[in-house]
Amino acid sequence: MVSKNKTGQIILNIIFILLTIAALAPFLLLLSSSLSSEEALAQYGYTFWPKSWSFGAYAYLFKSSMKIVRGYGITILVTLIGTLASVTMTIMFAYPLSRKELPFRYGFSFFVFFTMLFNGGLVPTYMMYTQTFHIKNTLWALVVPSLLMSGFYVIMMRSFFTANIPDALVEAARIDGAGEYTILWKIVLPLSKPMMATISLMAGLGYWNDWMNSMYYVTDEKLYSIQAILNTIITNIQFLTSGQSSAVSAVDVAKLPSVSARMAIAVIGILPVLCIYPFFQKYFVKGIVVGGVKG
Amino acid sequence: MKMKKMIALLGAAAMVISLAACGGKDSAGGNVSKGDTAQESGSQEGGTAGSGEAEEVALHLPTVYDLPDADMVEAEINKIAEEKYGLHFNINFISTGNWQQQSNLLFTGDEADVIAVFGTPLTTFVKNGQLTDLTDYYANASEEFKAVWSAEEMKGTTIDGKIYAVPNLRNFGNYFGLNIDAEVAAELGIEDGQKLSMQEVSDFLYAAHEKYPERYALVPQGGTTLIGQWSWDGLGDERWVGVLEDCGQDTTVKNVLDTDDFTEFCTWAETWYNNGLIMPDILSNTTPWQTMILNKQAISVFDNYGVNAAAGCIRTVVVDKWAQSNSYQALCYGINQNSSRKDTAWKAMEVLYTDKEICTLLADGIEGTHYVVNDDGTISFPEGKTAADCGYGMAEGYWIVPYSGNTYPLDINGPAFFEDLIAFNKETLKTKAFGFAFDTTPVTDQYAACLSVMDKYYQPLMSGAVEVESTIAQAKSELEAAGINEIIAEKQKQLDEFLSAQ
Repeated sequence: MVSKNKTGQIILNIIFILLTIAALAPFLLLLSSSLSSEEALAQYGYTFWPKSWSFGAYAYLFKSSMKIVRGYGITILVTLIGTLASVTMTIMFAYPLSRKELPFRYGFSFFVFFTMLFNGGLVPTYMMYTQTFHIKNTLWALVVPSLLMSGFYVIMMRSFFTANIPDALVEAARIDGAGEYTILWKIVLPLSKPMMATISLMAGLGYWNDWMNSMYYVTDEKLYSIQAILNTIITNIQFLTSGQSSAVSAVDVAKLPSVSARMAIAVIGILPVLCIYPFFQKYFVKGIVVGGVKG
Repeated sequence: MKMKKMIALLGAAAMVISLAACGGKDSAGGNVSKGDTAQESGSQEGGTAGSGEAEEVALHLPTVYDLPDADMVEAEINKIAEEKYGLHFNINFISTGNWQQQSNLLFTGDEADVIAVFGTPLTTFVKNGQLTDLTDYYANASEEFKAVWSAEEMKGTTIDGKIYAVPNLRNFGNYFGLNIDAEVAAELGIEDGQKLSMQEVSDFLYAAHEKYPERYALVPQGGTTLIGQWSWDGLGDERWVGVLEDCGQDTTVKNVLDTDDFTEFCTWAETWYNNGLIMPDILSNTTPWQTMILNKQAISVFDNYGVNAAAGCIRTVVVDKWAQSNSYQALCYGINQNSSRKDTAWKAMEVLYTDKEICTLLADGIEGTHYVVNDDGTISFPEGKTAADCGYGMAEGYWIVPYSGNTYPLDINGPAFFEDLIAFNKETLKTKAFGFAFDTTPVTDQYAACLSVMDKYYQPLMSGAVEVESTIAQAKSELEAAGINEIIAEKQKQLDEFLSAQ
């Protein structure tokens, strides 16, 4: 029995080690390319260990390019504001939905489900945001469209509340004289930490990795987030080297940011997330499991 | 119980209101409820309220490099524009990589007035009714403007007898030839501008390969093809479903795979590939040729070009300069159909083509900050700076701005660059179908089907990495099944009508 268990353990471990390597290898390659000198990259291609070390790409990013630093700042700001607003709004919506006393509860739930299945499409959305709300080229353009509210988060949160906050608890609090806000703030939220952490992480990642909003709603590159800058550099190079348009023959593509610079942007783009993730991980797993299984 | 329900309802209401309030805060001006059509000025860019009675006009154009100093240049332009013309420009630069997506969105509203037509074919915008008919505006334009673009040249951006856009100045035709690393070319005795036959190109490649076996003799021009096109004219279609052969001098529409030009090019490519002259991983290459040649990793590349030079390379000619049917349309400037101030937009358009000071500011930036003028009348980027980091590197993008003919040429292009360019455009051999644009509507389904077949076979064939004869045979059978013959017949019909109308 014991030995059988052990073999199983070993096999499982080997599988997971292999999977981990498969997941980590691209990161190593990325890191190594960002630290290679441009000539080595051109001559030998990507290697797991730099053929010749160079911090030139990072120096270039932080010395000569204010744009990267600003983009970084914008991403951090937008992620903070966006995550905070997103989690607050999700709770404010999900908690009432989880309470049986709410009138038209199913009607409200239907609204949430509906947005999960259907949306207006890009052009109407764009027209709404630019012509009615005028958020084009403002910081709001990075915060509000598509990321601020997600039906999926609301449903997850609501399921969590319904499954984990017994009515008896709420009732007991009320008997003790607590009002609705006190109940939410002092009873429900402290019990919902795993779920809040999960939603924060998911919303935060959404904001951190977002470049679509920058592409659609921002033409002023001073407001570009770090991911949008990276994406723009790559699409520019792709476009210019595609050779499609005879008009672009005059551009000296060699002057655009080099491969190692692009790799370096990618590294600094994921670094903060890598640093934060371990601290959230325990809540993250718990939140998903609890919210998912019982929901 | 009633109390509870009330509180719950109130909570829900508060939520709805807070949502609405969020929306309210997001609008720049704060007045969401009042119609947004009446007051586009002020709500668009803001910060222009104090400028008096100057009329606003929004200009959108693509850029290759970051332009952190664009605001500075815009302010300088407005100093002149407001005083001389009563115009206030809102200039928006959009990276070429994002251009297609963003320009399509811009056409949905009235944000854009004057806008570059680029990336998406002019015919698509015209078909969608997104561009203003400029025929009358052009007829009443100033003499100065007509001197820049004659009625004859405006035919390049005329569709169905109506002018929809104004061309910008760049090379409308192209030489097709081989760019060679200047040092290697000198060693092997090839001069700049020399005419080469394909046999001579081949001899050169073998010689270069023998001398520098560790370097790729030939690398792809774009992504994965040796060159995007050669001597065939796609009649407004850059994916080559139905082309004219021989630089458009033969007016019979053919399947590109049936043309001798194409087969000959692919056969050469295949031979070179099999003899190790072409980089072996051409089909997955992502490195630009400029980088490979400057890093001494490659020796030569096929390229199409006008009068501009390529750093570190000499250029040769295999196919003499010629212009394809949509060459004026690849980048031109039009007025958004949804613009609420079309007259002002046209006024701005004339300024952008005729006012030397404004053209120079837009094309080159501010003197002393973004460029210095040399004794011979050319300009250079300030010492130690390049187009990519001088703050406003548009000087290298002379082919982007509406008109650069009255501005300074960049030093590498030489003092007579713009005169040369204008002469080049005059001398260029034009395809017989010049100005023709194919309307795909009657054959939409077949066309879509053929495009996916072309995408599958055209690039590999133009890379040399596949067996030519069998691949062409396979591609042809798939194209025929997809209905290419109907497209060719339709294209021929439209072309004949176009030619007889001239």
